[in-house]
Amino acid sequence: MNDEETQKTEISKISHQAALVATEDDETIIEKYVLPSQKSNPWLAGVRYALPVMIGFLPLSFAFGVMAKEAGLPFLATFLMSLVVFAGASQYIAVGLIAVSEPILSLVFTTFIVNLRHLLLSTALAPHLKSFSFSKRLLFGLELTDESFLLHSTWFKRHQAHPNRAIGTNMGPHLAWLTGTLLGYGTGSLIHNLEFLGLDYALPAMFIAMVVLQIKERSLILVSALCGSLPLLFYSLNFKTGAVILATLIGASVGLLLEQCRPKTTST
Amino acid sequence: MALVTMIPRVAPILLLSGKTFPKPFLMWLKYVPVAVLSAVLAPEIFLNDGQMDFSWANKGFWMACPTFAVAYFSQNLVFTILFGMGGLAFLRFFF
Repeated sequence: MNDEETQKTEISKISHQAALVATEDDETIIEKYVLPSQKSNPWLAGVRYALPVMIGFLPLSFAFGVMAKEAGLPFLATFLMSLVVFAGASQYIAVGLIAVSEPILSLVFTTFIVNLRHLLLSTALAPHLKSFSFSKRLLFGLELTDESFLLHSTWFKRHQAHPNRAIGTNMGPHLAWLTGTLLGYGTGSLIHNLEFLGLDYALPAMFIAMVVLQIKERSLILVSALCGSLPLLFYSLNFKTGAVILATLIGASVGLLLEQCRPKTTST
Repeated sequence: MALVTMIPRVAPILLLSGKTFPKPFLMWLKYVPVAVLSAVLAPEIFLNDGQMDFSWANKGFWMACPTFAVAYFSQNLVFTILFGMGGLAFLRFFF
């Protein structure tokens, strides 16, 4: 589906450019289209911006590929899952549940709850996407992840959103995710013990780094600590399914309240 | 499964892009990134088999401490990930 979208946008882009090109002489063509795209192709710049996340995604998806192979998932199912589901934690859970032949409905429900937080991420980015066409919004949204969300929210603080660049930032990690899945599935039964290489720690380590990189204000430390403790509390009360999203809602609201109550001296 | 991951991602973008929001809501959204990350991260490092575990068996928790320090001082995503993975592999291998 994503690939289809890409192709469509690619084709429309090319035909649009061809129409423009036909009305101009050679020099302008070189100046306007060839040189800038060599210097800075926005899509490529977006991919480059996402490079750290892509490097982090390789071991994660590699681990998923290995797990899927071990659990006896068919190749096509594994690849499709990485292509259209594209959600780390949910894919791990899915492989685990499929391995013990859990009913499919509980799998779908778990996935839904775990990924409800994307509602918040997507909402947070929406105000910046005014200039995006419908199909670009769709493509952008489909490949959005926690990690690329952070890149966007950092970027949008200082810059105007550029459709192709933003899409590149989402697509790079998706491509890395697919590559890692393939490599993991291919290596499969050669590696029995994922723990040996610390592959299972790529996700926590990435989240640690991203939390730390996000914290630029004191109030954020408090929000972070609160949002870290709440799920632990919820888990100990055996309330698991909505723990993350509820903690996020409470934490962000407390952050806002703090900001509202505090005299405006240190606000950014 | 694909549908339930796609809808939460896409729906707000398609429905809300280009709309203007009240300022408090925008300020509230500013806290979402850190909030989500922390809420996802904490159970990963503090829980072991669904229980709070600060014992040596939960090596992920012990590795989290130096990883935080490395993240803070290096301010580098890739380096922190590699440090965390390598460090945990080291702990498991030698202890």
